[in-house]
Amino acid sequence: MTGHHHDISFDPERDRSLRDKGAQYIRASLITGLVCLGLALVIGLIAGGSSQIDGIFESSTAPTALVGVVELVADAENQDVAAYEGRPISEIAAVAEKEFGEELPPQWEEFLHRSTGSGWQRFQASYLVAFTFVVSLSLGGLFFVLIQHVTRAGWSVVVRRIAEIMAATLAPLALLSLPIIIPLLLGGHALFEWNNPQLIETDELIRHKRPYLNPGFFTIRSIIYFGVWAFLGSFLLTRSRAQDKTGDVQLTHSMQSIAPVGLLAFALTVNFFAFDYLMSLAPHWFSAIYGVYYFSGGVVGGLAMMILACLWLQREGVLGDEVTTEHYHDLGKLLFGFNFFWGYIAFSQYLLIWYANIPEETGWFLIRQENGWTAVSLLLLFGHLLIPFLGLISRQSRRNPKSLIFWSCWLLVMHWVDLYWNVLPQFSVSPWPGLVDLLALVGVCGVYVALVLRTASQGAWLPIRDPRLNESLAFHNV
Amino acid sequence: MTPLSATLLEPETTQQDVADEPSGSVCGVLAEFSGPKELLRAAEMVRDAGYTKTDAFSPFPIHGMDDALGIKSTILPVIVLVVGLTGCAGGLLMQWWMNAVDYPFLISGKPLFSLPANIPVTFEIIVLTSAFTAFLGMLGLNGLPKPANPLFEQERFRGVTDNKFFMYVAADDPKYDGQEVVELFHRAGATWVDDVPNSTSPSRLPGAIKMALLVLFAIALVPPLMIYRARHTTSEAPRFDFFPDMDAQRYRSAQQSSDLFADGRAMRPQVAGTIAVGDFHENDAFFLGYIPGEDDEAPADEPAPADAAAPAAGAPAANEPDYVTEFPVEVTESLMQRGQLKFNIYCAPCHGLAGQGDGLVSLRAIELQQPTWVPPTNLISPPVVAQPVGKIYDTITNGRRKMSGYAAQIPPEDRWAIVLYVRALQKSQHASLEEIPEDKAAVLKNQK
Repeated sequence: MTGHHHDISFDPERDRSLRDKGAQYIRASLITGLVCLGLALVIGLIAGGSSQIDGIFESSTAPTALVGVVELVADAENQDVAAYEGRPISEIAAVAEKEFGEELPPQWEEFLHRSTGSGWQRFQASYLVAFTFVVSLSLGGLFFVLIQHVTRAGWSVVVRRIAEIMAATLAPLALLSLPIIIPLLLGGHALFEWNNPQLIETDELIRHKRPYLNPGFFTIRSIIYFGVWAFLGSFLLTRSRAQDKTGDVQLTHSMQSIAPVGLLAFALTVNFFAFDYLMSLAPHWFSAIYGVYYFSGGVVGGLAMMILACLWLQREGVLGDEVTTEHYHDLGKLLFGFNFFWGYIAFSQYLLIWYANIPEETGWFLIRQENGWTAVSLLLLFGHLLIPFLGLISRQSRRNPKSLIFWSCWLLVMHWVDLYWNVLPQFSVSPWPGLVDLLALVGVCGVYVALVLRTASQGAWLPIRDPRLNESLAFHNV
Repeated sequence: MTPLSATLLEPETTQQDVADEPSGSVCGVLAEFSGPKELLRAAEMVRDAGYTKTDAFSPFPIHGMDDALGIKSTILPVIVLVVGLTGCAGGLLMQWWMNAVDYPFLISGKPLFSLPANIPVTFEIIVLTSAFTAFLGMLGLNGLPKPANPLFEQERFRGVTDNKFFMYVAADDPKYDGQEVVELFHRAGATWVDDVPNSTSPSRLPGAIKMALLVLFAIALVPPLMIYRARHTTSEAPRFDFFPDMDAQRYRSAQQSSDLFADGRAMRPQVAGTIAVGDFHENDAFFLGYIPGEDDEAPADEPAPADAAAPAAGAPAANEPDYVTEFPVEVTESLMQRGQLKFNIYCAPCHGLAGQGDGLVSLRAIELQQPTWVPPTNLISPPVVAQPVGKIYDTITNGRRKMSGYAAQIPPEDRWAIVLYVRALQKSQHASLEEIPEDKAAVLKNQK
């Protein structure tokens, strides 16, 4: 920055699309994505459910139910407990079931549910994490576009198209919900135990929630969520693109008038989406702030993705010097602010439950504080909140592209860890991610990137005739 | 300045002689420029010439002006960070001192000092200290409030809020040389240049404002002084009620005196030979658990234990009233369940869910090694098993040793229900295999 800017030279005729490279990238990421997803499914089905007994008698954090049952079995078989090291938990479970039957403690049943789930269950859980991850990125994009229109912001015009494309991708993203919805409609309950007919029979609370938590209504609600998002996303993108050709100011007015209503619909749908797809994994548990929690993480992820996409597009030569340090600085500010907002919301949820200390609420945190999940919880506290807070607090750090790339990547990883931490403790006693989780993540992200690039297709990555474009080009942080 | 250099100036721009000593009556040089770009260029030239005590004025903010003037980035964020962190530490320290040291107050077994509970207050204190520091620090670093500014006394300068652009170099700049600054401004394209005379108005706060601040400060000291006095003196005067509500009423409370009655008591003794409504307990066995003897005399006959094989330890002591040995209520399944419910609420915290004297309160007291704690009785021990039901009822009603009576909390029907459940608990620990239903017995045999 030399301190004062010269007259802005902006050529609206310049090609700001990915041109032929776009199709190439779409093909590459789609193939990568589908291959990884296929591998995840195969590996999940082959290797799933083989959790082993692993040094539980040396560890102070070993699940007490497992320790107790192994001791029982060892006693019954007249063996030393060390003999059971490395044996699959499912094997112990079978012996215990035969020897002791119904006398086994109820904690054992719950433990089994979370440790020896089938490979199909693990695949579904990993897929759900990856799916809610990419959906949240696009929701972050949609939120960004909506608030720009609500506030009639001028500074953000040069980066708004990226968010518009992310938001419009929510329409094809609905397809990725099918691997979750179809098994549910077929009566599957690997993921959502509220669909387990046996539990509906015996569990009063689940039976009571049945009018809401049932596959039919779940599907209808999913259609509503993705319907609203697809409508808002494509409405905003098509209007904005039409303006690229005509420069009609009326289009800006129509986008601005739908934005407040859109925000309201956005708030409701995101809230209930989080309730349905994530909170109902623990159907007994409830937290009114949960939707806001998912939303705040999504905005952090969305902003991080926007920053990375923008820098990448500049490197590809698609965007030139229209996007300046000043715009990155502002995106960095939002990233910093919303990341702290995430911490604020996450802590608000924790504090009330910690304080009230009511078993029906604390159970959800309890399984995230045992068997090594404590480390993941602390990783979120430090890695998602405190370290990035210090990392992004300085103005220089938010104006430096390298630093922004680092923190954006860091926060995207942390956002995934956050969702992993939200989903997996319901299914897995061990906190370690497996190959299935990583393949599912790469797979879904590959498909997602392909869908984003397809939505962008041959169009420009910048609203070239937006009435506030000049304001944005000349934008300067005082 | 030499006369030679003065002649180099255009006559119309030197509106007055530049003083030999820059510190004289001149506080700086002000120049006007035709537009923002010219102002920006001039600022860069002045910066490059090495002046530091400069400022630029325009009707609207000009991007890049900070760099053009060579203004270093402010230190305010660092100050805010440091004070914010101090506020964080101070907030935590304050709560630790108040809650865990000075006035420890245990609430439902939570730790006296634990981080989650203290985060909200700490967070608010960080925000408070940071916001105040940012606001006051901004004022302080800008030298505000400033009662007088010589620039405001320049007639021409008033246009700066409208359409004029000015640049100023202060006389206390280390490089300041009035003549050179004037020349520099002209080279930079100034349309008008002039010295700015020192302000005629006093640069210090007016005495009236100072006085008002002093009075305010003195008034602010009054409440703390009042609190200090109240804490360190005693007083006979009734307390002062801002909002009396219904604190003082004309009726008399228990234990108070009254002039109305001859004996001077506000509380009336029970009239001889009467019973208060609801206090008429005809059935002694039901309400007392024993049959009172004549003239409070101890009953001559000890109630014989129903079970002849009862251990000698259970033999009743002398002077015991005539406890009932049979339930004065109908024993039913629902009474048993009522008893279980009430036992678990009132008795189990100390006596334990199984009545073995191992309730959580007791375990906790033993763990804390409370010196005055008397462990609760094991209700299934032989001495208690041998007690007649009336005695157990009496214990619940009036208490025994350290245990207080529960007559106020538990109505008589429920007390009998508890006695029944205690009997069931005793039975459960001393039953023979034959007394257990077939299906349950099978499970027990397997476990064996």
